[in-house]
Amino acid sequence: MLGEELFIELSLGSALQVVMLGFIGGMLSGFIGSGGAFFMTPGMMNLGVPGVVAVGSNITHKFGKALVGSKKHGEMGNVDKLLGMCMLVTASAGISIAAFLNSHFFKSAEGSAGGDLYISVIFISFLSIVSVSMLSDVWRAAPGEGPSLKIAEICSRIRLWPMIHFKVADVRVSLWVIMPIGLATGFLAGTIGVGGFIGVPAMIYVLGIPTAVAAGTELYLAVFMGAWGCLNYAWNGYVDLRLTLLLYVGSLVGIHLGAYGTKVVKEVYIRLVTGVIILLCVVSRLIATPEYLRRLGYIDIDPRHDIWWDYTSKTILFASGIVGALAILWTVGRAYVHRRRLRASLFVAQSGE
Amino acid sequence: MPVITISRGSLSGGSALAKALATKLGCACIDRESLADLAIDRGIQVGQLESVLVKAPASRRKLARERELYLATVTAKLCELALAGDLVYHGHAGHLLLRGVPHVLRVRAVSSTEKRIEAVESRLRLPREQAIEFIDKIDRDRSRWAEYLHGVRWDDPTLYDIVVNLESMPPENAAVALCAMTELPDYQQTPASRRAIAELLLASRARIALGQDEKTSRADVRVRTRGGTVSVHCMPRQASVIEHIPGALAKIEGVENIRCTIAETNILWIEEEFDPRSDTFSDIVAIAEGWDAAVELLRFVARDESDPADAPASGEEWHEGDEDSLEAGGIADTLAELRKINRSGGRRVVHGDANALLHSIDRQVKYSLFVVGGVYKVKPLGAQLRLARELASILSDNFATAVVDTEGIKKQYRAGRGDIATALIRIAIVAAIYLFFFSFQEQILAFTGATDSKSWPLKLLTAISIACFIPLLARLYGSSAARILKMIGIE
Repeated sequence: MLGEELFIELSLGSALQVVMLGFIGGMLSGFIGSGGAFFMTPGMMNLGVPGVVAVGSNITHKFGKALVGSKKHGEMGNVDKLLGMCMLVTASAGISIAAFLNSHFFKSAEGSAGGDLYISVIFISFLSIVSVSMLSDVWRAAPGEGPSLKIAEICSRIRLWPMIHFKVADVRVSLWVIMPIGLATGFLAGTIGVGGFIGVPAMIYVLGIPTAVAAGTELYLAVFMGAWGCLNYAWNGYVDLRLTLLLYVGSLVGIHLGAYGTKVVKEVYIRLVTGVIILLCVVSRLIATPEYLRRLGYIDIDPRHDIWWDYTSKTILFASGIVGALAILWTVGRAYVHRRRLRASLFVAQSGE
Repeated sequence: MPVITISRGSLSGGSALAKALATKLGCACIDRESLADLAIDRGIQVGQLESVLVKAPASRRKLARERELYLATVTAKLCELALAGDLVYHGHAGHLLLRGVPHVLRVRAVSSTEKRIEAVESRLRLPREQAIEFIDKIDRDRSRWAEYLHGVRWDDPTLYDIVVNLESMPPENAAVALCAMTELPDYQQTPASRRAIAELLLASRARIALGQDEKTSRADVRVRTRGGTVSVHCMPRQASVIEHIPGALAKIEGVENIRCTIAETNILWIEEEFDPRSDTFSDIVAIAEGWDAAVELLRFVARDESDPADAPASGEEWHEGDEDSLEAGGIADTLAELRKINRSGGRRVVHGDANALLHSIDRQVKYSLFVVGGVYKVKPLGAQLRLARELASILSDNFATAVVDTEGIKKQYRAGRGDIATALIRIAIVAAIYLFFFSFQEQILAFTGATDSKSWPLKLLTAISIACFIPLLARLYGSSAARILKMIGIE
């Protein structure tokens, strides 16, 4: 490792793997409208990158990516800047807490095992809830039905001062409802880089704002959260710029392909694919955990088996990402052909005019 | 044979005015409540629609299809009554249900708040404070209802031909005045206005039929009619319903052709003289193909304020559906070309000023881009450019949609040779940065990495350097990658 055991040696092979992580993560990000960090962060950890560096490099990567994406959303009127700014106040605090804890656990033990275990535990706990919720939503939802808005209706009845009217989102919400959402978004963005996974659903389910505005506002917020997270992690020296640069090579291309897919794929399919991939990412991280527990002395297993834990975890992660990306491309292709066929039939229907 | 719509607030005397007017004209009088009952009888959950006004906006979007069916049902009933003879309707915003019908007399009945409070106090036996609260709540709900259903502000006076203040005038006297007004030629039915009602009726019946057919009921479709042709717009992800549309519309009388457009969104092209051979047409079509968008044509014929002969008919700021206007200005040819490539989003013609143009744009339609082309042709070139810029600015202020002029399309949305060269130069710069980074990675990591010996100014310098460098790189590479993908049709 380089730089005081923080940064890995990059071979051509590992560099290409990081590019691929970026490509698949970017594609998933474009497809689901939220960050692809749930794939990229554990992917980098599987390559031997310490968790704290993987998170730091990824949040720096997201900063630039959000800056590019939020401009487009802003042009389309999908950004509620006031809401973003209200959330940012507590989100910044959440990021600082997360960066402090990541750094603390990283330094608490020899090597990176302490930080890796902490990040993995947060990752597994949070994303298993996300994936199970998504998949149960797919299972229960009637065709064409949108998200349940019961929580939003309850929260709209909380009328604690100060009540703020957000014009773009067209909601009137108490600042006290927004603050915990911002804090949780910032904390998760700072800990595992997936703030969007709590920020976007919270805006939709809790505040009851439109999906497009939620995604646009989260991206706008991500610019500032990314900048703050980048400064926090860079201050502590946990940003591997090489990884950030390699992630960009793939992600800024993949994101366009993913976004193109949303035009023709049904929402229920998007939720299904995303839910399955996240669940497999959780399983992959779960398999990587015994190695961290052994290195910290919590369990006694043969160190020679570490390589198998690592390979199995990496295989599941990459297989889920590749299969997911292929499923998206296959569905996009099939939908494209189907529409061409429909267009041809429409011309026949019109010929009688 | 006039059609009169009266928009009224609670206890403002509008109902009494409507009844007096209907008695004088000897015609049917129908209120919003009767139409709502009709919709309930047909299985539409009107109560649920009304209750979403106090809930989160997302709840309203969940009921979008129910809302469409409600609008179609009440519009169909109003059109049937209007075709049968004279009609007085009183409710929230009836004239918006008959949008595009030229001879409708649009009346707004108001009364002073004090008089309304007195009416509530005496009729409902409420104390003054509660009466004020009651009126405030009712007005707020009605305003939301109009905004939810039609996307307009109910109290906007430009939506009406006349505002009648019933504070000091009894409803019977106001009815006499309005009766006289209905004698004006502007409010007489013409073949064109009957045709407009018939088309609206056909569109409403088609929407109801699509909502009732189990194979198409879940689709978010938009229906328009022109003559006997029914145009159905649907989202790409619901494209599979298109094959069931002819079956769903088969039993509706008057349907001659069915035209379907699969579109994710709409591009509104505003122009005075359209030309399907122009560069603008090619540019817009290319964007529409990339975005999966339908192109809606809006022929905007600005009124020349200095020419009294060019003034519109009294009380009529804008109109659509005029047969000559709909064929003139190259709009018919352009629409025909768009139909050939299945990108037609319909057409409309607006005569008047920028305000008339704003009112003519349906706020319920999802637009992604407004293109403002050559307008105000009667003005000198300099004034044309200035006024077009002002129009773009007004649109931009009133809609959360990107607005560009024809030059802007080329610069912002189309890739020319210059853009290809720029993209390649940027890619070369990015490649040079990457080469530099990976050639000197040890030195760079030594600078950015954590060392306990680092002083705080150095740490600050490291953090700021990274925070400044990353967005620049992302912008440089991201915009180039997007441009190149756009060139190969992935956008």
